Amino acid sequence: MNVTSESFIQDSTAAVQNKTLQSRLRVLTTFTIKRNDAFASLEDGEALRDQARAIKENAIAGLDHYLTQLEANVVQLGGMVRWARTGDEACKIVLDLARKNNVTRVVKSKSMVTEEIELNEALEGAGIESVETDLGEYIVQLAHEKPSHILAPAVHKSKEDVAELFHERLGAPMLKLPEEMTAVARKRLREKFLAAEMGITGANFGIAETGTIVLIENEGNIRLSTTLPRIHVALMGIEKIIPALDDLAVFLKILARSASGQKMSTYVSLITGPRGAGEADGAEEFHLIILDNGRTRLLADDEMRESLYCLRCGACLNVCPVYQKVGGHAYGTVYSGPIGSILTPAFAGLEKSKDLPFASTLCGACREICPVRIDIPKILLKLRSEWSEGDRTHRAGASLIERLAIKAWAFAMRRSALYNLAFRAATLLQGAMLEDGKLKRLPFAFSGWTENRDFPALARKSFRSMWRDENPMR
Amino acid sequence: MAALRSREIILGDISRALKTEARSGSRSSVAASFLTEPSRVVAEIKRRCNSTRADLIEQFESELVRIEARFHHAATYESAGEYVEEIALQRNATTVIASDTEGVDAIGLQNRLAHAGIAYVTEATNAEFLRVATEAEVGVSGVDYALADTGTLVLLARGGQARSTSLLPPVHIAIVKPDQIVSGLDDFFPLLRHEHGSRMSSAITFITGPSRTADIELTLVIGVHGPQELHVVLLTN
Repeated sequence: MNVTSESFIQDSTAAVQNKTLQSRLRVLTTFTIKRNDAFASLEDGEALRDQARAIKENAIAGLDHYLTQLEANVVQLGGMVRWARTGDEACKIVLDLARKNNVTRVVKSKSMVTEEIELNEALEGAGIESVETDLGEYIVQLAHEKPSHILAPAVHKSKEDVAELFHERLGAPMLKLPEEMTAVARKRLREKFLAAEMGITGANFGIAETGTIVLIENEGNIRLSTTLPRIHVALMGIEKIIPALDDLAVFLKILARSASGQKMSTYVSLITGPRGAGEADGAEEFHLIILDNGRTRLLADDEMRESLYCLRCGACLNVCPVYQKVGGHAYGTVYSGPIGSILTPAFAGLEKSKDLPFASTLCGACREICPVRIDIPKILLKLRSEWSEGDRTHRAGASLIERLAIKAWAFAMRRSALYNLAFRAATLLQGAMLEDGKLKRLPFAFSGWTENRDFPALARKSFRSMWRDENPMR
Repeated sequence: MAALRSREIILGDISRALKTEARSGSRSSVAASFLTEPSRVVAEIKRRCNSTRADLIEQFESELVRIEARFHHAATYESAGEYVEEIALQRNATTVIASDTEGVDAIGLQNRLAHAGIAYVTEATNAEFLRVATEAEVGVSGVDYALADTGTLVLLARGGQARSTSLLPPVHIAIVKPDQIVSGLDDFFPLLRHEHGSRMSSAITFITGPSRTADIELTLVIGVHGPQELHVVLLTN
């Protein structure tokens, strides 16, 4: 996995100063408004979220069992199952399949896992045309960029950007309306669908009980990718498993609502093996590739394991005050935003992405909105601590004086007379440092605390003494 | 062989991570048919849907309209056929493709469209069905279930009911019978188990409105890769 997260500080600083990007990112709040409306239409959305989490907990706790069950069912249906430990291994499996079947043209639907393993690059390197067919992904591919949002890959582009891109790359006239641009893409990509020998998709869910792959979308490109080409290859991370068919009802109710604020996505396809006898269409060959690529590392860590419950809905991106300002590209990886700051260190290594766990205010908005209630801030804190423990010189680590000060604070907190005395002394001492009623520059070792924000002044009267005055009986 | 090794290594890593006994060697048993639902549960679902049929239809219609689909009540087979013909003429269609299913057969499109000079092609009538489907302007399908609370159509792929019919042409017309409408997903899955549990269809497709995208500036555009128009014709007899 090729990441450029090392330059997060520079890239995010540039992003914040990029006026065009800032105006594009403003639309993100629309997602959250629609999401909240959509959840309001559920009788008990909160209970559904609990249920969804419970299903994921159970699925992950029995992962080996459910994966082998899925495998056995797919094989019995006439499909093929391969296992890949790394992205390279998965790419090689796809390339071998393509070569064996003389495949020269591939259509791809949007899939985070194929972005993660850089499958397009591998296919193109082998001289195989691989076309992204989701409109947003198509735009991003034409521009030789990476998606900047899980759900809306081209959210960073304006319609003028797209018009220019279609003009340059496709020879289209300079178009004004999104409808016209969409029509150009439909026509161009329909030809690709009809010509392709292989369709490659991800998988939103794999149902162990029935050997079914579930694919969710709005455009119809996934349906075309699984219906027209002779071969369908689905790539699935090991964590996408759910035990039973009926479990899907719970996820279908919350996933589209969380992602795009729809009650139901336009198309949900349950693909169970290759086409059946007597059917006129559908892929004749079905291949499932099950990918680890760092996921078992998350599994082995009791605190990080819950990040494997992620449905890739993108809701945590939309509410994150950091993502809202820096956008997806600054993260330097396909998995951006709060959840990406957990996944990228797991998949690419913390040393390559050390700034990402710190790119959070820990406000908890992501945990609040996550449909399966992943405690993202808690995991980010753990990653921060891992990094600080591992490297004492990291700038986020506390200095000796800071550590002594915090020890002294802890000592005083346990002795109320001493604490009161220290508080009164501090209230008097701060006077000289106050600017506009705030502490804007703390001295020496504490200067970092006020580098980017003001420290509130200590109140003239403490809460404890106010309480004593208000409740004289006590 | 490398692939086989990867399987064992991944399953071993999982077992270690979960601190469970290694199970990688054993293959889970496969049920020949997945669990069938007790008929008592199914009978209760059907009873409830039947007694609230009018409300379900009303909800189904309002959801369809909300998601930019068009809804048409057809009092007779005749009027359903008329509606399809009207749309085909509006679109200057030369070819209409259709599923070979009972609901679609019943509305007698073959003769009606022949009179209008429009080719009517089904899998049964044409071996080149798929090639024709890529050029047809209108696709007419039945459905297996419809979900009232989201305005969703559910189609099970099989011989006679190709996936392309509801996918390739710019216009998709679905013929729905009232007793196919259930309240939602919670009714659907038990029914599917009961009625089709012996073997999962190779493709079960949920369709909720015409194809759409919001990938350019989050502006909603109807009609991307799938149909631009979705018409639902409800037979009332």
